[in-house]
Amino acid sequence: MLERKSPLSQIRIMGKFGHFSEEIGLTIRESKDFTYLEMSFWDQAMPSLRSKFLELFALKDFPESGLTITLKGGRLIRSGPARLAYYGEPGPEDVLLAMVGGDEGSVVSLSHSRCALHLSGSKVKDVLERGIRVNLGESAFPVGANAFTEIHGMSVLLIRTGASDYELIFMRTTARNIWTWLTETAAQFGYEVL
Amino acid sequence: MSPKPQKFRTGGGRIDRLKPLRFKFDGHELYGYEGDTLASALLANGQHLVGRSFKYHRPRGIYTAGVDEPNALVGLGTKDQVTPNVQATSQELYTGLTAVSQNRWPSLKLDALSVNSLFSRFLSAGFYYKTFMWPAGAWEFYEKFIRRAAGIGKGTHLPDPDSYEHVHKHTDLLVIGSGPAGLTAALTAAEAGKQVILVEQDFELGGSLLNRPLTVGNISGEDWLKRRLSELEVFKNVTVLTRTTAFGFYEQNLVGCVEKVQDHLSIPNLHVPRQRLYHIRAQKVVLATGALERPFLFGNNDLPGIMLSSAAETYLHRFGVLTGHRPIFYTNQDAAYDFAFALKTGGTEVAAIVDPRRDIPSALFQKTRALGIPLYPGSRIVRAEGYQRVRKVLLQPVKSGRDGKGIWRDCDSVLHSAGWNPVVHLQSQRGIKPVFDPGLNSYLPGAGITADHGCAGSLAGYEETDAVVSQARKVAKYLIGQIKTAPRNYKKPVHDTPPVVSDNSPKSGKTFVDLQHDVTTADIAQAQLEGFKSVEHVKRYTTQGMASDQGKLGNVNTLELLANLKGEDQALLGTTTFRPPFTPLTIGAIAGRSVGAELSPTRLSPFHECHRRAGAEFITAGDWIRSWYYPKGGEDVIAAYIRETGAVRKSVGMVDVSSLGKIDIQGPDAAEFLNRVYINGWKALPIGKARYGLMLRDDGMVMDDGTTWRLGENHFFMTTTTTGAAAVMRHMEYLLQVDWPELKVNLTSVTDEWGGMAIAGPSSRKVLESSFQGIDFSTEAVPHMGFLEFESDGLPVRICRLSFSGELAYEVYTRAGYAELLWDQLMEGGKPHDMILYGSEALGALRIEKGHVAGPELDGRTTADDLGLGRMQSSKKAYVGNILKEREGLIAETREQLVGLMPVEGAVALKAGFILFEGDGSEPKGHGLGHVTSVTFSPALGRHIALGLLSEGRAREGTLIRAVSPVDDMSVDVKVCSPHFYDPEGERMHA
Amino acid sequence: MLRIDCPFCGLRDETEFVYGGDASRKRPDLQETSQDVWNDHVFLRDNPKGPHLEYWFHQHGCRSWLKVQRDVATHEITDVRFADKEKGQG
Repeated sequence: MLERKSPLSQIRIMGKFGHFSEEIGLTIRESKDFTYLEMSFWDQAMPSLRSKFLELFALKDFPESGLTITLKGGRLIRSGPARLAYYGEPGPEDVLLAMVGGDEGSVVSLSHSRCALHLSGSKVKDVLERGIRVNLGESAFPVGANAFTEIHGMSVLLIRTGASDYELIFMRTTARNIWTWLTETAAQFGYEVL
Repeated sequence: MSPKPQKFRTGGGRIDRLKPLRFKFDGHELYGYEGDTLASALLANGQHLVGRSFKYHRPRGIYTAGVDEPNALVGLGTKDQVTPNVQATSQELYTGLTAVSQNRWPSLKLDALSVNSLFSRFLSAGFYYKTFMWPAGAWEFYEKFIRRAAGIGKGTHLPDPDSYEHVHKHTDLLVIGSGPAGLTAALTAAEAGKQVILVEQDFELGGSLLNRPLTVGNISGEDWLKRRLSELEVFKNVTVLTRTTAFGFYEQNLVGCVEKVQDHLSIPNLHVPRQRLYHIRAQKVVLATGALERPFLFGNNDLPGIMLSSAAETYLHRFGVLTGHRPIFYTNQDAAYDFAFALKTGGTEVAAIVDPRRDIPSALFQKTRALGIPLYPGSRIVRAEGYQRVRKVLLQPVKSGRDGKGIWRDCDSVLHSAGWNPVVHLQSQRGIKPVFDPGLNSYLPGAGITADHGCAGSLAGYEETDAVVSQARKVAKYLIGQIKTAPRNYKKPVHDTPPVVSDNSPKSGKTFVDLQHDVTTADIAQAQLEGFKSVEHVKRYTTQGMASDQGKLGNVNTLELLANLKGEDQALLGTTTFRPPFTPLTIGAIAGRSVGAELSPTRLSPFHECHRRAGAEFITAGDWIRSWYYPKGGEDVIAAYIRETGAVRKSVGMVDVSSLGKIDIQGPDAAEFLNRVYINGWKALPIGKARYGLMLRDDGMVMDDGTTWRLGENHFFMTTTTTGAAAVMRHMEYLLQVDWPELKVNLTSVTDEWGGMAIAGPSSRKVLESSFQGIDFSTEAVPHMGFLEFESDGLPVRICRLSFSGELAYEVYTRAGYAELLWDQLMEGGKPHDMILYGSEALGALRIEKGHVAGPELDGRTTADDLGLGRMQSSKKAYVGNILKEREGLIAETREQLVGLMPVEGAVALKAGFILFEGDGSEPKGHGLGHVTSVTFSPALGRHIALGLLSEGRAREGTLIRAVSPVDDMSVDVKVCSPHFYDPEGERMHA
Repeated sequence: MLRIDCPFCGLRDETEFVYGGDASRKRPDLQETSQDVWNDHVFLRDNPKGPHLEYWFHQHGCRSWLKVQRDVATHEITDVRFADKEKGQG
């Protein structure tokens, strides 16, 4: 199995950094070897694809804008009115590729184009609001919410996976800039890289 | 070392006498206490002279206790942390604070430029526009002296060592100001369960409650404040930000605030930013910004010791500092009397109370008499006198004429109060003009309440603290939807009070209406005389209100003065518009973390580490960092690229092409779509082949180029230029969503998904054969523009045989995470064939030798025909730009066409941008015939060459012209030739 | 700084979008050959001081092209919808 190199491999140094006395405000762990797929549909195909999805994955709801549907090993996210993204463990890739016929849409594998970090801790929201302009308040961005947005002009996908847990997914080529913003911002709260 | 006694410090105040703080002013070591501002500490130490004025270098003292301060502007800090023009009245004191007075030389007491006062006749309004009109050149000569004499404060050119950040907040209610109105509004909304943010520019909450003894209901202001603050602490839904100024109010209820996180700390924490800029998006905003006291105008009203009455009261009540031992009060406000009584009762000799009103309320009259304070009703101060401090004032009855007689009274300070001006600035920034209220004799916010914000407390004209609290509660309830009746501004009854601005004789001495910019009432009158009559013109011609204090002390007085001069109703005069920021912002706060390398985002190739380890020098290309050249043994860029270019033509080289835009295109209408966006045809492209494509804009100009590969019947892989990628993607998404939604095509950017290297040179095929054992790379298996895909020990590989350099070449891609594995494999395969690495410089040289167009030729002003690519255009189909490219001007014979240029002397280098002229020896004049676009030294030809755009270029092939640069003072003879310098038949890539 | 209520993503800052110009224009049929018709489409624009129908591209969000009615004097946005009417009908 070939190793997929992380764009952060040269700069992601493990340890505790920044200003802290007892409690570390932010914990950073890179999510590696994930699968990221994007499926794009032609609008007329949406209704039939919806029912296929719900049946195949035994879902109650189809992912709508901003709401994440959790599968066994991953998450389904609506990345646009006629687009769906899968983020998680490899597996569903072939199923999804087979599911979407030439008449309905197309699937593109984007696993190498992204880099992902798991962020958690008591100050995770304070750190995020120093780069993300979307409302991250309790009711506006509850557990399970997601948003495609930007940090300093770089596209990101933010998923809230727990009360103080987030997944931040961004483009491989902008990884270093995101890392610099993240660590410089988190320094005032103390952060740990696992 | 025991602290020098603070001669003007008295009892009381909120300062902590157990925490003395040592600081320096103009090199003198002084002491204050925790809780002091720099201004209160200076006053406590008897330092009344704090600066020299802008134009006239007059001695100046502290005038206020807040953000309206025009005089006490100091230079704070040392070395790379110098901040000029800091208001001493807003600066929190800390141990080790170092401040210097400004605008004086050699010293504050003995300023050589105070001689400017002697030339004051020539320094009046608009003098810049009138001086040195003749002889020509005089202004250029004298300007540098004038500029050096002007200006306040010195900054530093050293880089800012501090960090700053931006924070984004969303809230139900934002309350600006923490006086009785702001605290009430915040608590009202908090109790209702709303998310509240309260911002206060001071380091303590309380606003006016800190400054004077107020009562709320029947408890003291201090107790009321204590109770409200403890209530506030209980609410988890309230965020309180002190040291945070709301500087700007923008559309859709966005409020910009800046927090001084560490400007009050002796030893800042390097991990924490110095300042934070908040973008607060509030559903509703309560403006509780209060009111600022208004000064009177009289001759020499700028002498140290003259200050606002409420400021003196703040210094006494909040900081325990006496501003003078023998004050004279000049006021038309009842509340100022209470302060005079408190001073007298405390043992200070109040020399007089001067009140322009003839009828003083009898209770005040009685008490004044009882305390033995001389009272002068119906009187005004005409003039003050003193040397570096006020010593006496001249009083006159209000009714007397300009040159009437008066009496002198001795004093060491003048405390004046002519009314209160609501702080309407933030609402004015939103475009809502303030409204003149005759009862208040000042300006109220134009809208007391709107759908998204409301004005509370003294901002809305309320004076009594109980009324303030009650109205503020209503404002909050209305905005959060608890009540339906909109609260209003306070309508003060109109009463007969003499105007603030009176007509002074010129013999009174300079009467300053804008202290920071040294603008006098005479300047305002002069502006009127010279025809600058409107408020907008007066402001700009005299510079009143344009200093860093934005005229907080002077604007209202100026408007009253203008109304008098013009004989107009002040209500109809209008006002200028306030602009953000409310108080000065440091540029660092605006920049946040976008400084240095983070100024704009940069993207790295997945091969970046490989380049770095190989010793590459890097360069930016758009937002990418690309390898530029690989210096061997001390080579500079020129030596390196010449070697690299030569090696590619001779054997083989490898270059990173990952930054090219890459777009995955799928759908039954994909080929049709390509047909519509490219000038050439795509439907017949066989699967497994690639084709060069050129895209036009709707106006017929060339937009971008690239190669597109057909991976399947309905599947294409498009490449674009590096810098054009985002625009091309946007353009295609636009066409599909807006104009042709019926087409079934999906676009996905895969620029980050794939990393690629181009292997170019006569030995490139051999390198691939060595790198990937067992794959057939023969020309039959992989023809020119052919594509193949395979796995090499699990490594997914896509190869397309296409050439930018003109050599036999292949682009080799893999998924980005495997880039380093691909690199290793190719480097290994390249070893036996002497493969070198080359960067963007050599890449450029190679394509220029071949006459391939790139960025400098695709500048948005060239057509396909200009570039010699006209024959690519299909006549069998319509495509974007196909009609407007036929416009008369775009097909004219005189158009500038792509040509090659060879300096007659091969060793002479041209530069891009040189203008092309006839070679007939005539004087180069006018626009010329075209310009040089790309230049390089060609190792293959052993000389300098260039590409250019030349009028009728193709017809001029073989002729001699000149390339001229007046900037470089060069004129070079060049021969026009084909742009395809090297291998013009294109044989080498078909090897 | 504007905020645009994207019909798919919700209220977002201007920094996520790219301006796309006048939306009252309609692309002539691709087979149209009149230079005047194309010239009007590409170059002629009204410049009202008031409500303006314009395109915005949600670059950092859902990448939808949107039609926005914005008052150019006050920045008030009164309508936002997908440029492609069929979009989001799934």
